[in-house]
Amino acid sequence: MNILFFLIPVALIIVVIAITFFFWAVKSEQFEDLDRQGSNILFDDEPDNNDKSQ
Amino acid sequence: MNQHSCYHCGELVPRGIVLSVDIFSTPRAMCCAGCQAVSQSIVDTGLTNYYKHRTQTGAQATALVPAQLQEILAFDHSAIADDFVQRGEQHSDVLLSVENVSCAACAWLIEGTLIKLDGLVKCNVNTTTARISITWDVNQLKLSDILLAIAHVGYKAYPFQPDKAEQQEVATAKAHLRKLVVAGLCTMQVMMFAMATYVDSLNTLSDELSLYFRWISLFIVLPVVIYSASPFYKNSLSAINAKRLNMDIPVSIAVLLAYSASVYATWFGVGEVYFESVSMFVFFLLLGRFFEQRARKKASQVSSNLLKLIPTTANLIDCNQQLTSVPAKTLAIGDIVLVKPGETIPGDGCIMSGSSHANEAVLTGEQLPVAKEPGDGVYASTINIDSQLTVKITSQRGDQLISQIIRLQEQASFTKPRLATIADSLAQYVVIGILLLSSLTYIGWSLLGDDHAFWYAIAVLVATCPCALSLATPSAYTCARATLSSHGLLLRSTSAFDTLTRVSHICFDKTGTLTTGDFTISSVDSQRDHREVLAIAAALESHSQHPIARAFDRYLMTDSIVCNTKAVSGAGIEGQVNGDYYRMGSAEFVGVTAKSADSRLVIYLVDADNNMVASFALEDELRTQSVPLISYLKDQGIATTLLTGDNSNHARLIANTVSVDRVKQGQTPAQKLAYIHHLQQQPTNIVAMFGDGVNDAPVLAGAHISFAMGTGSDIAKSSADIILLHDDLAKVKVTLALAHRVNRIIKQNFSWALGYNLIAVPFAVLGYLPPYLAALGMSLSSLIVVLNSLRLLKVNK
Repeated sequence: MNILFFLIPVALIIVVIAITFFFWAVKSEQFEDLDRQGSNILFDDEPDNNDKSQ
Repeated sequence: MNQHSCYHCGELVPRGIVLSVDIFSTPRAMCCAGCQAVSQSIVDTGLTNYYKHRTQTGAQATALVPAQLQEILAFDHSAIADDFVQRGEQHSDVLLSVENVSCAACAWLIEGTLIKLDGLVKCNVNTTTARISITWDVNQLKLSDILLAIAHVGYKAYPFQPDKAEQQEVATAKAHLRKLVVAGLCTMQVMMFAMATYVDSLNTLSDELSLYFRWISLFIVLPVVIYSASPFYKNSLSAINAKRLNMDIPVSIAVLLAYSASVYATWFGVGEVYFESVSMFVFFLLLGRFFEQRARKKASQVSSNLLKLIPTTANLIDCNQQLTSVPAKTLAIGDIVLVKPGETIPGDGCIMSGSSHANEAVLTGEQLPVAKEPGDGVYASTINIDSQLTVKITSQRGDQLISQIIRLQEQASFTKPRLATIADSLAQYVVIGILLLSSLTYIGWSLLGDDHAFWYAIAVLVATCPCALSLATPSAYTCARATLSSHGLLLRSTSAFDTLTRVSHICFDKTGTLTTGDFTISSVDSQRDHREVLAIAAALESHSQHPIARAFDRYLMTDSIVCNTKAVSGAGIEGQVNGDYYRMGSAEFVGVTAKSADSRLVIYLVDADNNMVASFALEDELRTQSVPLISYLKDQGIATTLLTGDNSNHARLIANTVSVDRVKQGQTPAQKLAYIHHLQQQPTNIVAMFGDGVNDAPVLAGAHISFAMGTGSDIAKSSADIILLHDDLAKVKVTLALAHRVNRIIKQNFSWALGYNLIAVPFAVLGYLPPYLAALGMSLSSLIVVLNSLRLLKVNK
């Protein structure tokens, strides 16, 4: 069980890192528009398609 | 694809319209030139993929009319732009509200269009808030070019006035999210250690390890207690300062005492620890408030988006008789301005030359134009209707009639009576009850000489932790707000539900509220075919600027040929329709004797020989939902008053038709406010107000609760508690019913939460409630409260 004395602090450091990342994400406004970004990936494919249709 | 609906906006293509655009190598039908132009420009800029990925059809596009173009160009004036543009050294930033952005494809289309502009640095479309943030280089690009580019792909973007409420919401929203996540992550960690001790019934954990777990938990929960729970402490302190008790006080006491007791227990190795309960408690409460706050932020963003900033410019005549376009707010006393027909009068002043009619509905609520001759006073924000005026500005901007109304509105909003909500009044009993019970437990056990007295008292405090109680109202309000917005109502203040259930008196404005505010033809009197005379009248009136002329628009035939028209200011119009000469207008203008004076406005049409062809009676049309609404309110025992600025017979006619209890007509904004204050002097009278105009703003701000029409003036909307986005009065019934349901649900929530506490308390008092059962009970009762509130989401049709 002695390993717990070492592993728990390690886990807590990881939690602190996670919280830091989260604060950064809030600060850079990543939670401001949750509806849109999910479908954004659709738009970047087939860039040539536009030219052909003209 | 359906050939009969427009590929761009989905509207039916009218017969005889053959327009198309090649999209994905197939010609697609378009319903109008506007849609065609927009669609063509989408294809030309290579953004055709919009059509592939959109999830909703676009809005029907209409070409910009010259007035709108003028407005857009006015945004380039630095004095106007200063109100909403943040200037940097090289780049400027602006936040615009944009209509009809419904899906990610719209956002992509706008961004794709804008990014092609030279000088645009950054743009981001937020579909949740329907806003675009833009950074651009002022030396290369003008704001009007950006707005025009957005208009070219079929969207209307405009600067807006951020709601005061919104600025606060946005500032706290991020902080709240951070606090919530810290509480959530820490709760997960601390639960891990708590679980280990819960299941350790055989005492297999070494004392060393168990003490280690306690210490670790102590440190994990520390940020939750200090950082995440800080809003509760702040709220309790401000409540105590105001000599009130609120729900946050028992919450703060429970958190702080339970945590300190657990720290004490850890330090001295005695008693129980409640770290996981404290942490979970804070997390649940923050989660409940997070949803409430998100709904509130959304509502305030939507209401900000409604407050369009429309620049008013003035045509200043300088000493050399040259016209320059300047922002209206820079006008000074003595300046001389030219006001063209259809323009908004830029300031209070008196007419130097020209005679015209002004629509002063914005100030007085009277829809009929007022005749203006040289020497007469004109007022800022009213509209010049039919001919050019030269106006000398006679008052400072702050002394204008409209500014006075705005000041009255601000004063009224400060004195707005606020009723204590059920939650507030219940909180008092809860606080006192919890504190009494805990102290009695402590005193009781101490007297019995038990060493554990303090721990039993803490157990009572944790067991009675008002978690479910604190969630009872926010969860119900959040769900009710969502239901309301699905009905097209925007709730701006949360306490509105409580107030609504107690409304005893409702006042209505007339024009624009009970009526549509537009003139419609109510009857036609003619020997000839009605359709034929209406078509002639419509053809003539299509050449008139007068607001009454719009009533004829719907009867316009495309094939009539009109020529030689001449409009006479405020009197009528004459001209040839399909070769025949006609005169149309007031009785004096056409030279007939007016028919018996009734409350309606009558327009006459005569031919070349002065023979009467037809007469049209016009009326400000009553909204179809007005009569049912008033009779519903009567059934509910709610008194009604028509409170209008209109002093004509029409007000009485409307009052009789909808059968309100009282009529107050010819009221100025200050008189309206005084009337409401008079009603409010009786404490049993809870007064609601419905309005739409600037003249209603003070009274909307002063009433216990107020409703504004979505098409109403900005100041009315920003004064109101609830905005009827689609002007649908029928929804008021839904709102009242919902408010009663919300009240019921909140009461159920409270009884459940209190009931659970009452069951748990005896065990805690007797010392039979271990920490894990307290935590489990708290979670379960919170869950039940939230599920009960979710019932409000069910929409009753």
